[in-house]
Amino acid sequence: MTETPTTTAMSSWLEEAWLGRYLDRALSPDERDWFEAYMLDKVHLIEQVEVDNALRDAAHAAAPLSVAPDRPAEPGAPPSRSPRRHLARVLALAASFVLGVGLTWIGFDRLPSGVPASNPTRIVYDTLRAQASPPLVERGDPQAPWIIVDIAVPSGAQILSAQAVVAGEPTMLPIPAVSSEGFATYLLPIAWQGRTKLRFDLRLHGRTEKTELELMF
Amino acid sequence: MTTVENRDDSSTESLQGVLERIATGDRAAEAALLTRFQRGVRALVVRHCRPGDVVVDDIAQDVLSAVLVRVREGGIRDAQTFPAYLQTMIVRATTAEYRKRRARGESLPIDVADGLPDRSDPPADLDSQRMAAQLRNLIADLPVARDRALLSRFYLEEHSKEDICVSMGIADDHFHRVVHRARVRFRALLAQAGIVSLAGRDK
Repeated sequence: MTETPTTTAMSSWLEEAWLGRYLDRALSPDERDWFEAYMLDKVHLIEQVEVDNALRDAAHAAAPLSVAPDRPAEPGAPPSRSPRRHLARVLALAASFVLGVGLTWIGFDRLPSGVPASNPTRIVYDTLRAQASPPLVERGDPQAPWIIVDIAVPSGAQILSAQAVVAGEPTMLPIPAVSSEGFATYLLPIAWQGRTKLRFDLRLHGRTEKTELELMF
Repeated sequence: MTTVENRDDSSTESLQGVLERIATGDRAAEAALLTRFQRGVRALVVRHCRPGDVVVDDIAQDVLSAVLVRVREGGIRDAQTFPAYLQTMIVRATTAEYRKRRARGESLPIDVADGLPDRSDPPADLDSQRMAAQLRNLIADLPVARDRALLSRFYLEEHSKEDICVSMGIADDHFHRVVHRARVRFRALLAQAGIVSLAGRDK
């Protein structure tokens, strides 16, 4: 695309063409800079950028968007890496990290011994974001002594404290790092399943007040 | 580029006049300048920040304040170059913010929230939750799983259009069609839900 001075208006169809490429993130850096300067005071263009911004923000607030397809993909569609599989790999890395941290933290005699299985069951809680939804369970090795618990954390939230109440006995958990995907991940003993509450204190968007959340698994 | 209409000449002249009046101390002209550009500045700051970053309004305000000071001082007199100057300021300010975080060893927007004053904004939080809910509806309504994956990759994982088209084996026009329809549909859903504050400004 050839550039015009930013204060000279383009025809509508040309504006739409530029905007379409801008929103698709298909402009070069120079083109992007020029078009952003062009549209700064053009409300009809800014409105569409705001919609796209809102869509992006909502996507992150609602993540994970598509845990599993509920309808089959189109016949003939080439196989592709699903977002969930990508996420699983990230979470596996996160779990490995937490395990490393956890082994120093998990010095309790009630924890099972043994090497964690390579494919433990994973439970994904999306309760802390947007609409309430049941946890997603990805069955793994039933012999695994561990279980991976992924908790989707609201965008902009900070975990202040975490606690597990096992059979009525509270135990402080380490504060996990939130992944770039917005998940906090714990590797917990399988023996805890069904008799443990997980409690989190969160701070949302800089608010000083805490929000206590309770998850059963 | 072959088709150019000069339908914006009057606003160009007006902007020139506004800049000149601001340089002479005209406060009404300052208000006119802010009214004209503040929405666009915020939208672009959002664009250059990470999703949901709480620092957006601070950066937008800082940019507008710095530009206003510069115009008052007579440092910007040419309306032709003003938008490009403003855009550059936005990019620099957002880049500086994330560079600062990296230098502090911070990687997430929530880290910055620690250093900011309490900015509880329940209406904005509610809007955010409702937007997320509307997006779930939108995604759920898509009949083709591949299109759902496309939107997720583009908006959540922020893959490039090229990467998505190649990895999913789809054409550019299909990509554009799906994303465009999603935007149109999302906007309609927000309107139906009574969420008219797309950027937290236009209720």
